[in-house]
Amino acid sequence: MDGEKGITAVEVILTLSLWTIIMILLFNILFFITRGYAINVKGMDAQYSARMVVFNINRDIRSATQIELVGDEKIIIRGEENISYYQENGIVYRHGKAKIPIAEKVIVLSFSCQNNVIHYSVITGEDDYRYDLKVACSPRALLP
Amino acid sequence: MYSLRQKIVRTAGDRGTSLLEVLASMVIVVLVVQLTYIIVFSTSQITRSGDITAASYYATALIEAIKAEGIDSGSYQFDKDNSFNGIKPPKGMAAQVTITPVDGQPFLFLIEISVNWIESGQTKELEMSSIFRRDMQ
Repeated sequence: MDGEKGITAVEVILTLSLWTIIMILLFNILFFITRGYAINVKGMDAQYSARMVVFNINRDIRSATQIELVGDEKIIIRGEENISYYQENGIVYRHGKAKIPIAEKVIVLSFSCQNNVIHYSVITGEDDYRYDLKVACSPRALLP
Repeated sequence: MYSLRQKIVRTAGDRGTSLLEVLASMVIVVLVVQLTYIIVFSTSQITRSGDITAASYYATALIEAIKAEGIDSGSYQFDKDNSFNGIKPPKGMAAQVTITPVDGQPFLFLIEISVNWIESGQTKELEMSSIFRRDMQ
């Protein structure tokens, strides 16, 4: 209608600028939340994998009567059952009567032995999250 | 004739914002803040749980090594520059180990381990203890 003011170009530009700033902020927050969530899930997975590896290996080492290391990548635990643990393509296997995968996304599993104590290191995770556990465990039957 | 203040009020206050608009914007702000808080909080909790697990396995490793190796009674400090039996502490952690004979038990020794690390500017501590037997030579 006659006499109405309408919107000036400056107002349109100001509105668009403000809207752009708000959208950039919102998308940044959304990106931060999504990325944070993804990293958290990776973190939990990595920690769970490491704990599973340690839980299984410790249990078998403690009841072992003889332990043999094959290089630093494989351990053979002799007891009631002969069990070996090794990492293959990012998966740690417990190889007894059957070959059972016990954890995935394992980057490093390495063993060493000092004074009847088995030292081993488990590194799990992916590129942007890594979890490192260093463990030592001794077979109860072999303790002095 | 309008005063300057009246002019500003006239032009800027044509419609104002409705209660619904205010509520909707508040809901959006609260949702965003809450989601951000949840992510930040869960990240710190996951980091903390990882640190506690690493610290407890480090303390266990020291106990196992001390039982196997056997060290004299006393107080020891282990950190990244001074590891025991090749057991290096997890990043940013250090351990204080105290070994004392158990009263009235000549062959029994008490191991007390305290692992410390810094998390968000605060010192965190995990304590673990065990008893081991060492026959006198």
